[in-house]
Amino acid sequence: MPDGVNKYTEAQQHELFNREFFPLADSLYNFAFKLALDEDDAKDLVQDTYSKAFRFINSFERGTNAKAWLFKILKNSYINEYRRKSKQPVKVDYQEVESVYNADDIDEDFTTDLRAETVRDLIGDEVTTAVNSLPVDFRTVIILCDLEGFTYEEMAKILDIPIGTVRSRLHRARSILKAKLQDYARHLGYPPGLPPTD
Amino acid sequence: MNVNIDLADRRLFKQMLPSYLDGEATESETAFVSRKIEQCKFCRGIYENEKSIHEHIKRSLAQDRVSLPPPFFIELRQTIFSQAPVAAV
Repeated sequence: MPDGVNKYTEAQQHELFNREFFPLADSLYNFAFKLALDEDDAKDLVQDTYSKAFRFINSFERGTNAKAWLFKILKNSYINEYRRKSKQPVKVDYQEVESVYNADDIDEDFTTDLRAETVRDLIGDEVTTAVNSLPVDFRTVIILCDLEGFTYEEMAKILDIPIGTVRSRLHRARSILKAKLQDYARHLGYPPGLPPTD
Repeated sequence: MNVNIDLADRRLFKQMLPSYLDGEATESETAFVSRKIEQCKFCRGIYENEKSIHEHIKRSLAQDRVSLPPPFFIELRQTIFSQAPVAAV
């Protein structure tokens, strides 16, 4: 399509927004909030995302995955603007995380059974705290997969990483999360007689 | 069964389990994991525990969803529709 020519009429643009984009506002806000951990930044991110979607609507193909498209815009806005501004520790040292939280070690060493109803009730609120304390790259894959239900392929496109990286990042994120929850359960005395690890 | 094969199978099982639980395993991975769950008590225990944790995390995240405040959404909609669109990028 030549520059300066709009793919959609104004009515079609409004229809796309009303039918496909705006119903995703809550999901986008929730994702933004989980990334930024700040209400105002999350609102700004959502506004930026919709503004960019409107400005660049010609690059959206009707019938394709609107949710993945908007999530990708939001993720890029966060990386390019907010993450830099917020001075958060952005870079995950994957080697270090891997050495501290070796997934196989976790599986073998931790014996707390999180199936127990009592433990599940006790750690209910702790899941949010544990997810929020993950490095942002790990937090992101957990939210995209376990909350938003994106496939590995969609996540790879949103995050601009290979599917293998999605798989390993998700595995490490869950291992860290599990270790945090299991350690919390131990602090609460489950299973009885087993001391906390720290 | 040979102990080394058994350990290797368990390791493989644990590697494939996350994709299986996410519905992302290949046909052959799915067949392998399903078979191990059915035949191996150790694997079944791991599967049940992982599935339980996985579901608990999903449920907790869903319960903790935050929603955009309605007044902000109304304002956002008005702001977006007042913008002039630009050409394709």
